[in-house]
Amino acid sequence: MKILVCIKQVPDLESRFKPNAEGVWYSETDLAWRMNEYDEYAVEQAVQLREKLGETTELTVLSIGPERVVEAIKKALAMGCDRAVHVRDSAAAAKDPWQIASIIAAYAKREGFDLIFAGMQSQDRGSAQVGVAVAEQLGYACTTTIVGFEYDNGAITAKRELEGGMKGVVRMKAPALITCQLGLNVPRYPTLPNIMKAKKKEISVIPVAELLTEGALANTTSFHSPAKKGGGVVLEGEVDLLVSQLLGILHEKTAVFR
Amino acid sequence: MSISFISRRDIDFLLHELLDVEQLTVHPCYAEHSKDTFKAILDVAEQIAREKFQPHNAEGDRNEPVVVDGRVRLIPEVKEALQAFAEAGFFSASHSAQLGGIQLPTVLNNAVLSFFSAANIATASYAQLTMANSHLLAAHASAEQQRLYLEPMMSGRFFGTMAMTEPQAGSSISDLVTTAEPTPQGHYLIRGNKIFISGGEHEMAENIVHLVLARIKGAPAGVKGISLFIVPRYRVNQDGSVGEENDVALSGLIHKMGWRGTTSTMLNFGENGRCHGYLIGEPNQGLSYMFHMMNEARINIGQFATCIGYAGYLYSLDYARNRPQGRLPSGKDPLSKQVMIIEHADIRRMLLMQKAYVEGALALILYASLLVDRQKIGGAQETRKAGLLLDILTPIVKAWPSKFCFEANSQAVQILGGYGYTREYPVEQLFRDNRLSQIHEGTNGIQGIDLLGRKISMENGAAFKLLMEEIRATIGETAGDASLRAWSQELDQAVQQVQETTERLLESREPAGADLFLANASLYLEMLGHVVIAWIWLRQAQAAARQCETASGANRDFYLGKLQACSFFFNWELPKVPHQAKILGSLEPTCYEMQDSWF
Ligand SMILES: Cc1cc2nc3c(=O)[nH]c(=O)nc-3n(C[C@H](O)[C@H](O)[C@H](O)COP(=O)(O)OP(=O)(O)OC[C@H]3O[C@@H](n4cnc5c(N)ncnc54)[C@H](O)[C@@H]3O)c2cc1C
Repeated sequence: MKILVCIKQVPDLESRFKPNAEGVWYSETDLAWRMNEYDEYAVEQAVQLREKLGETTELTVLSIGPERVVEAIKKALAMGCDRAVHVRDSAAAAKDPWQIASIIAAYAKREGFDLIFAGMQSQDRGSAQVGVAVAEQLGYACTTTIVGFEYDNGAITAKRELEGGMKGVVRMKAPALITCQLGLNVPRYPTLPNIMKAKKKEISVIPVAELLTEGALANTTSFHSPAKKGGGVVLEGEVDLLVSQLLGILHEKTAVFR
Repeated sequence: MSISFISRRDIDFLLHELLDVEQLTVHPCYAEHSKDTFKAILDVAEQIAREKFQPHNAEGDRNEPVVVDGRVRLIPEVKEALQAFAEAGFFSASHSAQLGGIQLPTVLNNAVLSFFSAANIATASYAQLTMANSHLLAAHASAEQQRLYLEPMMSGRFFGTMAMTEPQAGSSISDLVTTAEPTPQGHYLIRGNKIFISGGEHEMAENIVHLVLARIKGAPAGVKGISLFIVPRYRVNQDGSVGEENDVALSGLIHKMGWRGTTSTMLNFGENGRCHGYLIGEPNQGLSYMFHMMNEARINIGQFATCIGYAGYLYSLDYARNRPQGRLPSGKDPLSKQVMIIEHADIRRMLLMQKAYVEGALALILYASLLVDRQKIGGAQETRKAGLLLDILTPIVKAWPSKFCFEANSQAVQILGGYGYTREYPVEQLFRDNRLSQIHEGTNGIQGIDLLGRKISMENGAAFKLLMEEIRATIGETAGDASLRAWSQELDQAVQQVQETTERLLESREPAGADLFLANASLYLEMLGHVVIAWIWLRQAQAAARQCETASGANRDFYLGKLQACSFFFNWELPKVPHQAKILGSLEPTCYEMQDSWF
């Protein structure tokens, strides 16, 4: 059985973000990087399944991006993935979700995975589209935002988190793709012996040009901090005057009394 | 946004830009490692420290260990944290591959441990004691002892302690009276009382391996008659499973100012004559084996002190950036907005002082740790050199951070003003926690005596001479650099003063007598410590100045901060040396001559 888990490296959310020179994405200077949180749940679930199924299963981790993403790849290897694919692309951040998905799908088509795990969304772009679009391009069954997962001989039972705290249960057959949500599991810490072993695991590098055939369907035209709101109004004077002033404003500008 | 307790950026700077630890990987012993594995290991340490250690630091302080139904009870988070530490493989990291470790260099291991110490010193202590214990067993225990006691400590199944102190034998270990009686079966029967034993009792591990100093019946008095024993809480069966109790009784818990999450115990060994101890190595050599552990432990204490200071520094820095209060002397308008207190020069003085102390101390700790690696893997000459430097630096590594990083914690409290004095803010706990550092593992007074009484003159002053040469080498390297020249000259003058003072002291040793010669030893340690830290700062400045020209953004700020902290140390701290030298060189006798009845 072949499993793929897709991960993205994202900036640490406690970093200070600034728009880049073109004003269409954030600037990468002074950022610390880590594995996308939702992808950690994906890796953990994939590794758990890999451990359950044993040696006949091979777990590949894939990431698209510049050289720095190798660090996230190595973390996934140290968590228990068997081998890795680094799709080298220094301009990954400028690609839209459709293009990213098509790169993954092009690779996955070659390999014929039975199961693909991805995070529900990335913490930086937050489109929540990549996993679904990969499934679409491969013609795989797909379910999203899962918080529970079981696998039995090609049959998948996944628990989904829905709005308002509701849960749904989905059954489907491999080949399939699922996207993972907070609450699915507690990602393990890489162990030191596994970090040492990860050094010896294969990381094959594929230039993105080899896999990219699609153009972008959407472009980010601007990236900026929210415009500063105008300063508040300070009312001054006698209390009864203040009250009537305030009531006037509430009537005029808000829906409070409607 | 969570406030970090130690700066990863600084640790990376020290490891790579100051100490170039990657160089170690060319040696076969560390060939399996690379900059990447170092980074990945530090990442895990940082993450576990942040997620598992730091969150219960205050909780552990508020809930001291208590005895319930004869068992010590701790908050459960302590065990969970140590379990994560064990599962990640940190207990065994620096052991040889042959024993099942990953041969992590000591300098990396201590960088790793810095995260845990800064996050939660009390919980981290259990791990660090166990590791120090296991390193002693790896160096001196028999293969069979290693199988039974070391292996389980490497996986975190057993924890370890060091049990030296007795009520009448604290600083003066040679006065210990715990006895060991040989038996025909080969083991010894241990009898005696130990006090202040950290981690001496708890339910977090299957077993506790005490390393106990005791006297074999008939052994000579003093340090020459002390042997070292493995004394498990539960006896261990041949198959490695845990067997019956070994007659080690908890006679009480000690209630402390800080470090409250670590059990401090009074232990009775052999109340019922059934306490088995297993001799390590040769009889009467116990203290030399224990010194193996203590030298490591002394670097650890310096590291603890530094990290607690570091956590206070970063907390007070964050607070100073966010607390509006008052206006600058130049801002007269009472209706203008209050400034953040970091705008006040006096607050910046206190922040800089902390920065200079804690970052200087951390650099020293990691430098000393690198010496441990060099001593291990170097050729004959390098091994000797590293060994001598370690000999002379160890008392400084223990005592300087424990005094000055504690002072840093006091400054952190000051920055928070009244809030810093309350239990609502972590600086109050950090201040209490760090007060211990000057006391345990040989008080700072004892370290001063060790430095001046033994280390300075050892091997005809070889260690001292070598240290001075190393410092002079940096002075030489920086003398031609316009941005560093002034500091280089100032350090040169300080080194000369220290050297002259030391010579004068040594000359007067005979005529003045040992008591007066050693009377001001603590001050001597402080003086030499200041010169060593100034040296370490100059080396940091050297590395920062190199990078500063090309760096931009936050990186450039980082390097400018290093240079400014170096400037602080040279302008505010190093000038203390001439004053100290004057007191020392004249064998200033006020304290020595003071009479008991005059108080
Ligand atoms: C929280 C805590 C944890 C500890 N953990 C352990 C542990 O795990 N294992 C262990 O074995 N011990 C441990 N200790 C014991 C610790 O190492 C001793 O407390 C320390 O060595 C000092 O001994 P003492 O308390 O008997 O003080 P004393 O030796 O009585 O010292 C009192 C004062 O006299 C000074 N003094 C003593 N002798 C001299 C001298 N010759 N010249 C000049 N000044 C002198 C000292 O510097 C000190 O200021 C711990 C202590 C504490 C408080």
